[in-house]
Amino acid sequence: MSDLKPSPEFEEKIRKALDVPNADAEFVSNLRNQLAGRPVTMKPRFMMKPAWAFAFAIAALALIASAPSAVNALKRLFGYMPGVGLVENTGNLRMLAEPVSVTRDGVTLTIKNVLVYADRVELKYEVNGIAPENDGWQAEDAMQTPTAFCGGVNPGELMSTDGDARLRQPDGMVLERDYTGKYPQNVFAMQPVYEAAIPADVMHMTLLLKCIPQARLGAAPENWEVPFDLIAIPAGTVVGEPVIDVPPVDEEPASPSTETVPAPKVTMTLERIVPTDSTTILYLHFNMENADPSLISIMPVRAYVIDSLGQQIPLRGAFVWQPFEHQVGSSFEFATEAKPADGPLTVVVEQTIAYYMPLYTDPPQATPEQLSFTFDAGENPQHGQIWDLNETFTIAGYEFEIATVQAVTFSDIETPAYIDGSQGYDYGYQFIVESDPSLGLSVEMDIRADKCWLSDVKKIEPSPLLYTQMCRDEYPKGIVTVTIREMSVTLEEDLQVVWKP
Amino acid sequence: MIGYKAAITTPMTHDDLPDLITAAKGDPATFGRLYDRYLQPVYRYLYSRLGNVHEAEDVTSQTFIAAYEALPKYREQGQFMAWLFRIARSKMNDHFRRNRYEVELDAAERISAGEDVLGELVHDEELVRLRSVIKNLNPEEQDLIRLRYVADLSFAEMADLLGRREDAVKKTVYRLLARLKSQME
Repeated sequence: MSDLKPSPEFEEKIRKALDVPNADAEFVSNLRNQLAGRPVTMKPRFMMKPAWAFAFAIAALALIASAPSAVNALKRLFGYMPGVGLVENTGNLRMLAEPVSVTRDGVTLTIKNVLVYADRVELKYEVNGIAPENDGWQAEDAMQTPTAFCGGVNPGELMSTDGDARLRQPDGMVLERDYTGKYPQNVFAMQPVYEAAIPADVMHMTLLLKCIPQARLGAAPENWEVPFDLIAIPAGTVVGEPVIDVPPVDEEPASPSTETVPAPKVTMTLERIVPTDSTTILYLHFNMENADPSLISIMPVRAYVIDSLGQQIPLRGAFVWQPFEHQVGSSFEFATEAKPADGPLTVVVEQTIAYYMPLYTDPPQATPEQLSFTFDAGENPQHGQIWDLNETFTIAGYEFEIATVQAVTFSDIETPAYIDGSQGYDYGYQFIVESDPSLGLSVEMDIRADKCWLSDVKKIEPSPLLYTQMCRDEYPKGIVTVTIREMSVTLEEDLQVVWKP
Repeated sequence: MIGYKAAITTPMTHDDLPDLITAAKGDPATFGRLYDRYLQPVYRYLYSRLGNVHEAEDVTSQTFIAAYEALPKYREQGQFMAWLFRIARSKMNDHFRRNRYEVELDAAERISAGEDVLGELVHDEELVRLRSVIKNLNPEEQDLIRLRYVADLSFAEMADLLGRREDAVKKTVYRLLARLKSQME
């Protein structure tokens, strides 16, 4: 290898050629402060004493009662717990008496939070001690062999519930995780929600876990049973930081719309504010006037606050970036990246994206046949071959045309973003979707064939949208059926709400 | 606010790292020392990939927040840098996938404006040529060069990150450099 070794001078030239600036000092300082202000996951602030929940509830009660500004909060039912979010005390609330940890073969499972409401149970647990090579989030082979890990399935297969935690009540009844999509945190395996009314006298339950989500099967302890105790929280006690309910305020348009096509009117509502020592938590939701029934979600693109000193502070979302998990009207939790100055706050959201999924609303707004089209790829489709389609669809009043489809290979769509490469999805079809360019319209669809999965959406104005779906092993042949799964529209109008304490 | 400033002034050695990582799992102040050590390499690497200060800052923030939250799950095996860069690459991947439309627009605008996404403007003619040659490498090769000469990873760290043997990584990089040099001659 010595004959290959480059000279230090040449290496220095490479460094100079690739020279990039260091991070800005202000950014470095802000991020450091932000990290310092985050909750510590291994030492929850409520973990200091036995029976911490009760002690905390009493302490919070005393604190709230002694602070005039917080007395109002006592009348309200919400509190805020870092890492958990809003906690509503409707009078029948039970909580985890104290965190419980069990260690087996170096792997520790800790139940961190349990909240038992009148209609549901929310659980949060975490696991430490899984070696990186056995952790499906880190292991190099996790993408290639998903079924080697707990809960993993091959693309296109039905989901596995092996990694779902279950709860056993004292009478032996076992609760299964909710899959209705009502609870956003439920997308995380370790934050399951159980939709059930638990009898008032149940103060003890047991977590059952067949295998640790994403742990390599056989490499970590399995079949866990972790008992835990609950404690009742007195009615009227605010659990966590006091929350300020914001009375309804109409938002003011921040800038006039310049849309050439009239855009639907989206409204933003500020529901609650939680000032903490290091940040301010905001709860917002979005609605649309006269919305089409196929509207699933309205997602914000960029959000920030302007404080009383005129400082613009970005908002960071604590939500899951999945339209399905945030249906219209549900709350988004945001935290300011720095502590705003005291006084009025102006909340601004720049752009929203409206997602329409007629096939997946309840009830559905279209049949798969109505949103499908076909083309004949023949018995031997060739790379580069193009078929004219000219299929026109209208969703929520927006018209678009699937103009053509072309047979492509992975190299046609590959960018550095595909760090894992094609993963075997080497052959696919690329659709050209044409619509009114002022709409910012995007469409996603599925080829109804086995082994088609990897999708790519590309749009560089003024070109039409290119939507590609890739398939394993070969091009689907013969009559290929394609179904439109989702359409979204970018709404440019800024939304703004002013909160005056 | 927990004070990082005192920690910044204390130098850190490789020998300190395992103890620091263990301590940082429950202590933001100690995590601050890891942050100070690794922030700039991560940022520089992301900047060189994204070509934009705003996006590099955004993904750097996501990387360190994710690392901080995932640190309790990390088991020290002398691969912290590789673990951190794996998170950074994963966050960058998410960023590309989520913002591909905007990212590609931005890239197109930058290129049309004459800005070179590989870094600051270089006036030296030889360096301009060298950058042009590097840009013609395939993405994986460019990434190797960035990890080594922008992020300043050691060959051992690169090997951990890429799941390859250290000598194989070293050989690949040296061969790449030999190729670049021959193309410059």
